[in-house]
Amino acid sequence: MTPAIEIRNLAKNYGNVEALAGISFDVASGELFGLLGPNGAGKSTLIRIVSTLERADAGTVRVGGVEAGRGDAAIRAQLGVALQETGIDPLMTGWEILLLTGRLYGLSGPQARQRTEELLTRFGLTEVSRRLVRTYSGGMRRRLDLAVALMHEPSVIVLDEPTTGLDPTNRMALWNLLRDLVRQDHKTLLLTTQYLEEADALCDRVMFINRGRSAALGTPDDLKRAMGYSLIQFTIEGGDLEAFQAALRQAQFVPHFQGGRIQIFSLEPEVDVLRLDAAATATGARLRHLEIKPPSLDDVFLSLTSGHQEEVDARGN
Amino acid sequence: MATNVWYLTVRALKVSIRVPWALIPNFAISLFFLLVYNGGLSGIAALPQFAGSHYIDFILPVAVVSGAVGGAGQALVRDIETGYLTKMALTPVSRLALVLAPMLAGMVQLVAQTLVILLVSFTMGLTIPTGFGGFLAILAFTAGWGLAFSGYAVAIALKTRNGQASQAATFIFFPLLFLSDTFVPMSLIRAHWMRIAVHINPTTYVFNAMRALLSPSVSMPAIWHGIIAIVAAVAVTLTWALTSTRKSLAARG
Repeated sequence: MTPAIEIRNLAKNYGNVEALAGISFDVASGELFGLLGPNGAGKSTLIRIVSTLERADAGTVRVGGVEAGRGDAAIRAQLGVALQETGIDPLMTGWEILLLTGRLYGLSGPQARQRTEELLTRFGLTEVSRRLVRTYSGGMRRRLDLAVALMHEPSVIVLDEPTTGLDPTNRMALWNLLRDLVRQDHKTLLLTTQYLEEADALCDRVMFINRGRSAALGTPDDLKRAMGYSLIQFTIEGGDLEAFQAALRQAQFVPHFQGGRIQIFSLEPEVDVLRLDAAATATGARLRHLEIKPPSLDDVFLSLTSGHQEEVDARGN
Repeated sequence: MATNVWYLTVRALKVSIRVPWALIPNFAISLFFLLVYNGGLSGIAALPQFAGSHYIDFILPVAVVSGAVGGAGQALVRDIETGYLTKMALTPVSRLALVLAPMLAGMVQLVAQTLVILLVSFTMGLTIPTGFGGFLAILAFTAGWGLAFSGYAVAIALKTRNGQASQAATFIFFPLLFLSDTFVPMSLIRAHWMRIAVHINPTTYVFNAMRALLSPSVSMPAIWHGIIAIVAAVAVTLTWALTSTRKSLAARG
């Protein structure tokens, strides 16, 4: 069966900046596929290329078997896109925006009106539909933006960070809408996110991307298992923090500082805990709140991208 | 294609009416030019070079043309900033429709404004010797000029994707408006460089076509020159706007 989206060796540069460095993957029909990565990983560039808004420098994108650059109109017809910034005019009403979108997709007046009403109901916007969008909350705007993307009943839906900036209630509500689109309406969904719990909760498969490359691909469970690492987490009490850090480095540990806590990825947690305790004792400190945890997706993410921020900083300097 | 242009133009006009403060400056400039220049300069119409015509016949085209600043460009920058232009670009709508709609909306806005300016001018003693046909022809020239200038504003908006830069670019309006036989007939302009500028400036031909329609003896060459100037200007600005679209849509927002 033809994959809904097929991406092969996709590359894109902006001047000297390598946004995508030869990325390949397939999204199966009816799949909910997540692209995860830090800011600047290349997620949005990939989405813009799949949406036909930009051309890749090399590689191919096929949506429903149609190659981007050869059948952009055909791709647009089967694709529903909502970008990171909602693309709706605050000086129009929700009703007007949906109706106009329907007409631009070639629906007749009555068809467009019917579809507008359906979408307003489904997305809980009927009550506010005659108000200007500038009076809408962030959650309402997101829902309207998504409704606009669904106007022409696309088979493939592409969303760039759909829940960024939403409060937890609105995020959960949107998750349910997205799940329904895949489970009930049998749509294919490609989304990007920075939220690991979102990818964990929603996606059938996840791809981590970092610096324009695929860093890992699999189901959330696969990725967590493949890590093989455990996470040692603790705080320290007393002693000299700098001396302790130096001791950790000397013992070849790579600590991550998360708030007041210190995290260390470990293949042999039982042994490493003893080494950590020795390092602490030697610098007059004591380990507190010690935990050994199986990795979460967050941890997978952190271990795959931990070099990234330092590199960005180094380039900035 | 034509229906999409229609939907998008109607939408652009609807939205522009919802920010009425954005419509006021253009109209105010137009009205200001009409009142102040006619009030301050009308005495010079006694010079023989004016051949007995009223100064309002001479200055009215300047007031009309000056009302075309801004408008379409600002509306499009708003669409770029809100991401709505990108959203429209994701539909099957052609790039030409995306560019034409704000241009047409800018044109309609200028024609509507000019109707009011004409009404005010009638109360100030304007007569149109060429009758209703002349009146319609003036509006047609206004529409052409509106389309051409909107094309320029749209191209700049697409190129800069920025409100302030677009605003700054409308300063082209100063040379366009004033390096011409704006206040006095060509025969009264003494500086040689200025005369060259007047000949190069397309606005000159638009002014003189409208003036021809306001004079008892219509000069057909003046009207033809006006038509040619406007068609050429529209062709240039529309092409420029179109080539700017793909680039602008590809730019990272």
